Amino acid sequence: MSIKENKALVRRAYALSTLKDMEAFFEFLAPDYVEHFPTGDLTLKQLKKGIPEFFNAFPDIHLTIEDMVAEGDKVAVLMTQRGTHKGEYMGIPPTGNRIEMRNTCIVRIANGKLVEWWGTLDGLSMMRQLGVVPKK
Amino acid sequence: MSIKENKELIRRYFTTEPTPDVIREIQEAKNPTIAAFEKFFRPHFEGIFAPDFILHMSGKEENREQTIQENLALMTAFPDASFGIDKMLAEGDSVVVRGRMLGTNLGSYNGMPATGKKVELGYLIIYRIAGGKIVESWANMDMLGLMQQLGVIPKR
Repeated sequence: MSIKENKALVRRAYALSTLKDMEAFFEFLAPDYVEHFPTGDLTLKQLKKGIPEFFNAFPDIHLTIEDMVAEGDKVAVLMTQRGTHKGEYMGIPPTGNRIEMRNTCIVRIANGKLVEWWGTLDGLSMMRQLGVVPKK
Repeated sequence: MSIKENKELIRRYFTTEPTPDVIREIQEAKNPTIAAFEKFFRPHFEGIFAPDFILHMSGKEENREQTIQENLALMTAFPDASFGIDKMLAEGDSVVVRGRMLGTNLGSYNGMPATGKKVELGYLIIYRIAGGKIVESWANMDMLGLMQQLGVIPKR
């Protein structure tokens, strides 16, 4: 697949990264899809549990792709996620706060699916916006 | 600049070491951390980042001097810090780096006393290059993970 095709695939997948399109989003992930975080890995099985929890906590969450950089079989994505904290998240009761998170990731593509993901989430900023960590 | 040259610039930023002369000056200085910063890191940084460089991080923008000061704060808190590149992608005028800082919390960080803990700080940074220098970057750093490793914020 070309770089152009890879970027288009990522765009299509992330456009479905919402509560109502969650099942369609999972179709873009290979069965052995894995997410690598600085603290450890998450399998597709774990994500199919964790992602719905996230979407239920932020039911109106919407992802905007700000920029993509692609080379070979990988696409780096700079994105902003915006939503409202309406459900319990990681033990934090709903605050009603609007959150905006800038996240970055690199995805690897094979056979028309996303197979691997490396990312760093702006977790501290999110905790601040949820009022769990004081703003400095 | 070609993609190859852009990647080389970023590699040079991450991997350049001080010369033996500069190392000697640093070791003989009263405050080696400050000396390392002013005699090596600052000139190295200013040679690679344009004067009008802008950093986008955590919803804020910082100019070159502010970015330099952020780096000084990190290096003071983690004097043995090494910054690695695990993955690098490049396209057009952009280079993306995913990597980790490894270091020991031997100095005060953000007003908190040193913990002595060994930490790993993950980052993913997009650099935009123009005229042979880095002009803009978007950085995500796992600061939550760092705070948890330092014991400042509980793991959930």
